[in-house]
Amino acid sequence: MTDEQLMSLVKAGQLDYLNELFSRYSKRIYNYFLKSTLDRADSDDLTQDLFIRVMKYRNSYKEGHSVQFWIFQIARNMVKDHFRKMKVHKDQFNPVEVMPEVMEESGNGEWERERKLHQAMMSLSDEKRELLVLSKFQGMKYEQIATMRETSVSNIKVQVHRTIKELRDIYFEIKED
Amino acid sequence: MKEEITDEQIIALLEGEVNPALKSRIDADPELTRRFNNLKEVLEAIEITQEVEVPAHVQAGFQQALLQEKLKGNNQTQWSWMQIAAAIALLVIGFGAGKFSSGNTSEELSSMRAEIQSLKEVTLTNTLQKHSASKRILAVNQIEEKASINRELVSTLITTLNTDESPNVRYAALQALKKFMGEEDVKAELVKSLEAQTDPLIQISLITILVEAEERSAIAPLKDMINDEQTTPEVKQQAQVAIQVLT
Repeated sequence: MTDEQLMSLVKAGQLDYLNELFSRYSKRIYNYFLKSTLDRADSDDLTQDLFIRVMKYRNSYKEGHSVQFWIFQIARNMVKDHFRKMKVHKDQFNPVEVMPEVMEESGNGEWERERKLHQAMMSLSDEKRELLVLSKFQGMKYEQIATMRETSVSNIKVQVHRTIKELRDIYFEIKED
Repeated sequence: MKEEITDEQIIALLEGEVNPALKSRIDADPELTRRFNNLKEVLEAIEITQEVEVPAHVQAGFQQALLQEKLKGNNQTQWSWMQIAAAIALLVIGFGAGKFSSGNTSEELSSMRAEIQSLKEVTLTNTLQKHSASKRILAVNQIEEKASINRELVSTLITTLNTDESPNVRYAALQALKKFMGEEDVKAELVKSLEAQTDPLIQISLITILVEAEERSAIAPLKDMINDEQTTPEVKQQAQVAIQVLT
């Protein structure tokens, strides 16, 4: 069953199908929040709230429209609200916070590379970090992001490329521990 | 003179754009190769990033909200006429009490209020024992709305939770008891109630409340639930998640 069919059933009152949408999207959404807010506890709350919003505002879903797009649109608005409400102290940020516990220093430099990457991500503006999370971490197409941000595809492409350049400069400035 | 190659062109190449002429120029030039490799390292670092698993309590919290929404939907249609009747009854009682109280001293009035309060509590307890499921839910909700509550009413709610034949009434009693999770004996009663419940919705709700209260004494009965053949797979899954969170 497609996401859109599931959401139509939810809208018709069959709320149990939300469990399937939770299974399909919760990990992606959780990691989107985690990489956008850089905070585990906030990402826990935001993920839970997002699915509660999907449930409560199920009647606002327009049938046939992309569920992925709708869910990420809600998620984006939640992140914006989050930054408006809270002062994020990035100097207290620990890059290991957003890395899986199971990932250990294997000696092949993978762990260190990821740590450096998250530290570099921290230095980007919230908007640029979100752009990178959507395009590179979530693998969204430039067309989808352009629709989401109500701008042209070429504009998104330019912004993503600029952000990658900025990220590269910061990444290679960070000394390895 | 050859046109300068920008980082944007290199990124486009790394993103999969086919451009053999550009690739040849990069391979032939050490400085371009260095720029290419640096951008490649950053993009590869992004690509190999591992995702973090969603914590179990996030799913548990969502399940709880889903359950409440489902029960709310069930109750809404049954209740509309009850709410209207209750509103009319309150208006009549309020009007009568207003007329009656106007000629009394404040001392008499407060004594009268205490008696009425006591009578109401007895009525609520009786209602929970004798009336239809919808009236029993109404009684539970009235207990829940009370600003202060005595031990007898808490005990009535616990009995209702464990013995009422209607799952909707048991659910309402459980929601009312949530307010008293600060009381150790209420927590202990809810842990005991895990053994008494058979309805999956109540079981899941009870598990979620005990997890939220971080009640570690629930681990043993949760294990029993997992081993019980009568327990549904959804409840077993929820119990397993709860044990992970509480351990």
